[in-house]
Parts: sequence; structure tokens; C-alpha cells
Amino acid sequence: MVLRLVCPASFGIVDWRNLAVLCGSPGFDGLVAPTVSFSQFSREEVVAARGQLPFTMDVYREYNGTLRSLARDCGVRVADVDLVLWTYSIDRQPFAPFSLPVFDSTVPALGERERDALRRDHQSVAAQLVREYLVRLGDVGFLSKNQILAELRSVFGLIRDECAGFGNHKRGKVKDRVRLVVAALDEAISSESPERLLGQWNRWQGMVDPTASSWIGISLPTDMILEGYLVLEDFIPVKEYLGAHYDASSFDPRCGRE
Amino acid sequence: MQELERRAPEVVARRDVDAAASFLSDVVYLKRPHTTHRASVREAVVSHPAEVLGALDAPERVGELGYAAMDALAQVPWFCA
Repeated sequence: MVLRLVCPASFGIVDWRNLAVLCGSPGFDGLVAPTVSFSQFSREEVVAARGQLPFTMDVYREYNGTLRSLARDCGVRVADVDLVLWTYSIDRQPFAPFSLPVFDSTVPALGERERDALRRDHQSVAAQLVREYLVRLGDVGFLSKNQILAELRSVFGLIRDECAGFGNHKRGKVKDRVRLVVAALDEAISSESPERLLGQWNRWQGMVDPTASSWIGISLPTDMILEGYLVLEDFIPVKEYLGAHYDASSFDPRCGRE
Repeated sequence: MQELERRAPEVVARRDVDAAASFLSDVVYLKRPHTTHRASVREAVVSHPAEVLGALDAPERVGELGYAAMDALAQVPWFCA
């Protein structure tokens, strides 16, 4: 983006939206003809990955080369082509309403229909839900440490509610143990820092993992899955996403993107 | 964006780390207004003066460096590729 500001005649800003318009991706077609193909991804992959599209130097070089060629043909600056593409993309698909935590506006409250879908095919339904959340998270860019904490609290809050909902219909020892897990989740939610919360996540996983020494004697995730509830294990990609994008102790971005 | 475009040549010409850090944190903020804490970005940028000065050299040598000019910018916190 800095080069776009300093040398607008020669450089544009790379953005998945601009790539989608150039490629004629579904929902973004109609402006550029003939459409442009990129060797690194298909037109469908651009809109599927959105903010998580890997912008390598090769991608930028190819993208900016296309912009330069269009700018030459139209007798305008590269930055002007960039702006036209971006404006067209917004016109075709406006920004989704934005609010933090992203989790709360992305992951729906689970009704009977969602429970039914989870009972029928837990893995696919849960994976899709987590995937959509991570795409939205990628769209909003890097978060501050407090914003990460808020996201993690929301994830834990949902799982806490799932556990409590599951325990509502149980009696005896199972109910007692669910209460124990809910208390552990409540304790985690009250953590003041993301690293503490992630530490609690590992501890909690141990409590319900029969192979761990801290197992509390209940196969909670399996029973919950069978009854159509989400479990914390479904959200492991969130933990991996945070590990890949943020420093484990400071929670500074591993690599700031422009 | 227009305001940043107007400030950009001046920031490059001045070669002042403080001014560049303010400019760069405004650039990051423009890209991600909802999630960028401008003061934190500025603080991270200003703590790497050598990298900032290297980045300020790059635009002037863009004719010679081409896309490699981005490598110098990528040394600055929040601007790596």
C-alpha cells in the first residue's frame, strides 16, 4: 500500500476483491473482459478464500502487471484502475455489517434445525461453521490482544452453553460432571489474558480426553456430539489460526499485513 | 486515501522516523480501521528506526529496484509481506 501511495502511477493495492473482479469470480463478473487467469488460484478459490488468500510476491507481481497493462490501455494511473476494481466489487457485494467479537456475528444461535444437521453429520456441519468464522476473522485483519481475548471468550461461552444445555437433560453423576466442566469453562471465560485462556483450553481438553492423566472420567465430547451439540474440539482450527498468526506470548501479529 | 497520497512524497523526502511512523500507522489504520490501534502500530514502527529509514530509501530507488522495493518496506513491523 505504501508504494501505491508514493508511486500511484505504477503500483496498486492487492486485495481479494480486486482479484475477484479481474478473474470474473462468481458475483464479481461483468467489468473486465476478457477475464484474467491467475496461475496460483481459480476464480472460485478467490471468493472462497477471500481475506485468507495468500498474497505472495509472485501473486502481486502478476496482479500489478495486469493493472499496469489496463492502465496503459485506458491512459490512467495504476492506482485509478485499482480504485475502479475495488469500487465495482463493493457495488456488487457490499461489506457485511461489522461488529466485534466476530464470533458473535458469524456463528448462529443453534436451533433445532442446526442440532438436527449436527446429529446427522457433525463433522461437516461443525467444520463449515468454523471455516466461515475463520474466513470472517481473516477479513477483519489482525486483532489486538484484547480483541483476541474477546473472540476466545465468545468461543468458550458458546461451548459453555452447549455443555450446560447437554447437562440439562442428564441426571446423577453425568450431571455432576457436566457441572464440573461448565465451572471450568466459566473460570476460563473470566481469564484476563488470551494466553491464560488458551492454557485453560489445553487443561479442559485433558479433563475430557480419556487418554490424558487429568481425565475426569467422562467421555463428554462423544456424548455431546451424538446428541447434536458442538464441542471445543470442533474449534481447534481457531487455536491453530491464532498460533499461525500471532506470537504465542505477546499476541502481536506474527507478520503485519498491509 | 487522498490525504495520505498527498503526504507520501513529503514523508519520503523528509526522512524523519517520527513523521514516517505516524504516516505508516495511518496507512495501517486506513486498511483496517476496525481492528487497528494506531498508537500501538506507531510505537512498533518507531522502535525500528533503521528499518524505517531503509523503507524511506526504497521508493526513491523504485525505478532501479522494481518490485524489490517492497522487500525494504517488508522489514518494517506491520508491513511484512
